[in-house]
Amino acid sequence: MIMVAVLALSGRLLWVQGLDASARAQEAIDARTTTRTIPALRGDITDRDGTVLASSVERFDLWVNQRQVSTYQQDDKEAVAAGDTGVKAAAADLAPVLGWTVEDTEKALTGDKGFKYLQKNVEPAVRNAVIALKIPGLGADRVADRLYPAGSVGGNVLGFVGADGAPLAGAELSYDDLLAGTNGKTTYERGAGGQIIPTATQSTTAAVDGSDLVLTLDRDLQWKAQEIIASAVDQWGATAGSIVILDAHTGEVLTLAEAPTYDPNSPEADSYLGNRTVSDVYEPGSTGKLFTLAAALEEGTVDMDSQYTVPYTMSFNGERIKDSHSHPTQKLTLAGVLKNSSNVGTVQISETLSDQTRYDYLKAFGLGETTGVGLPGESKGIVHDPSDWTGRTKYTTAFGQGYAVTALQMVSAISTFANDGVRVQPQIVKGVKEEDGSVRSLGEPTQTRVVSSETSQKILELMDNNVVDDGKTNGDVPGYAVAAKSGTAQVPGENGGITYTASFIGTAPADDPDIVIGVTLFGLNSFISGTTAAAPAFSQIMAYTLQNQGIAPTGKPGRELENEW
Amino acid sequence: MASTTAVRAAAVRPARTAPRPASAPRPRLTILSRPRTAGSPLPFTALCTLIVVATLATLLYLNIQMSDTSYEITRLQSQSQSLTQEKQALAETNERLGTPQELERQARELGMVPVSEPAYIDLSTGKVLGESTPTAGDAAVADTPSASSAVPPAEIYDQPSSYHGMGNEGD
Repeated sequence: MIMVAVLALSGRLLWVQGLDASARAQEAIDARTTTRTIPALRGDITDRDGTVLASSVERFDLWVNQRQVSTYQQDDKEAVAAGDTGVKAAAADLAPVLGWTVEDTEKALTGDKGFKYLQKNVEPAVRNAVIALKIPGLGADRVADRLYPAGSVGGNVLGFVGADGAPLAGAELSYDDLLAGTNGKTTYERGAGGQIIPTATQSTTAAVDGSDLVLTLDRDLQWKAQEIIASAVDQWGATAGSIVILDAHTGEVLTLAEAPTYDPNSPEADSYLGNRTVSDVYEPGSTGKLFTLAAALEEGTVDMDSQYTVPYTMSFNGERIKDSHSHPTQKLTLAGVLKNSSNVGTVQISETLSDQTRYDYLKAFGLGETTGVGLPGESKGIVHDPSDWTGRTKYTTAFGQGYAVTALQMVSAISTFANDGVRVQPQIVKGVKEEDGSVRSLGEPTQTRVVSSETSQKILELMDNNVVDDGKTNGDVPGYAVAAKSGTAQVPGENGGITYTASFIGTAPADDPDIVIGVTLFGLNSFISGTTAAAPAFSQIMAYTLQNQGIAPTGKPGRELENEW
Repeated sequence: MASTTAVRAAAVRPARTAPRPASAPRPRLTILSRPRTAGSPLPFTALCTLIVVATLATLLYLNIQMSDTSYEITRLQSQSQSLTQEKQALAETNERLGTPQELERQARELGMVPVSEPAYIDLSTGKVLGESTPTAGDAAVADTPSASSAVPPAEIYDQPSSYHGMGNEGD
């Protein structure tokens, strides 16, 4: 009997120690070995001065196993004596830490669920305080959260990430390959306390953190613009509005402000999560007259002294073109046609050019093509081939109707005149921050010469003449000569209704411009001109921008040209 | 190592006690060098023991050091984590206080108003460009953005959370 037992034990011993030893050892190693992912930190997004606009932080999801909470403080004799145990006591202790009411906390802790989230995304300090209470069944999982400290300031440009950290919109999405980084991992054997067993095998692949993205935005400007456009949208009952501030020489977008917009910290709370400045197209209206004039001046078919007889309505090849407001027949110069924003006069000018030439200029100004600014969901706009310019379109294209643009395209096109006739591709990203703090550019923007320096100067003069710097006219900026043009166009709305898009695009100081600003209001219910609705917002943001960028007045008064003959 | 000294007793030379038979022819004697008794094996043993013990001691020491360091790493890691968290919390506070919304609010609380018409001094000519006038108090109030158009602060800070972990867990 004993022999059998000894034999059996010896056999087993032989098996475990000798024959099956390596498998057993491996099992033990497997039990000790643990692999941890080293998460790569998502890069920050900063504005042009390095102010953080988006950063990743550590957060915790608190959870509870409701079945265990009732054992709270049952081993504590004092607490037991005082009757201070169980769910009630746990709730009373936990409530102040979470900032909840005791009743709510008790409700959350009561039940028979094995796992339930108490609160998501709590700060480490809160998590530590909660864990320190040692309430049975309470735990926390570490998660990464994306924080946008300035809230909705620049939200439309930044975009946001989903709960799983995947980018869903804006620069977060379009520059994800730079921001994301690569996760690393470490494999090691650990002791009971979680400490690394030093002699055992270890291997670590380091995580490569994402790069920091430097935008061209100026956070303060962006903020002010958002405030101004929200106020303008409010005031005029528009459905939405947009302000673009562009550096004409570098193509850098200093501001791309919208209203309404969203807070990327909690995008689910807002209804519009896009970027209408680059995605929504509209007919530019009278701002498009600048392209007709620029083309005609460049081609030499008109000059600054050209004279036009402009009735209220005029028939071109059977198509009746009329001006926006009734007026007796006027004798207007080229400058006068623009200042009065005469459709009839502009069509007369466009008649000196072939359709193909006008089309070529529109394309050269960047219309009908995405700007490549670096934001997702960008629209190309619509510019039909001249062979499709039938009937009225042949004439309406002269004054900004019959083709469609995005607000950014339009500001970029007009910035050509503030950069000596060269259009610089707009860009939203300055580059990637290197370890030494310098910014590595992601590539130079393309530059396209559209018109000559002389033509560009002439258009600036015409735009300067268009805005009277008397301190009273809409669009005026005290101390500066402003060159700008307004535009208003109809939009066929739902249910056969018509809404209006009003815009005001310009630059200052007119004799030495750097900054071009475009204000656009969408979905106005009645005809409100760009000069009425958008120009006051333009004045405010232009004045603020000139201060913010430290652009002093040149001291030269605005140019005034003869408007009539 | 106390045992080694005890072992080091005086070496004993074996006595020549065999009686010499008288009748036997006297064997021819030759001079031999004294056989090398080489003292005792003790020093060598001691040396070996010493080496083994020293090795074991060193190994033990290294092992202790290694696990010590390992525990130290664990401790420092948790310290580093808590410091990282502290740094993060401070950075977040800094960012919150630095947002334009917050700065404007604080500036207004201090009674500051936005510049309406700044004047510039051209340093090369000493000429003053523009005319700066102090903003009147009521104008400043009028300039305050209405509640609806003011950019709200980020939805992350100091707000009572509406999320109480109830109702949306997918019961």
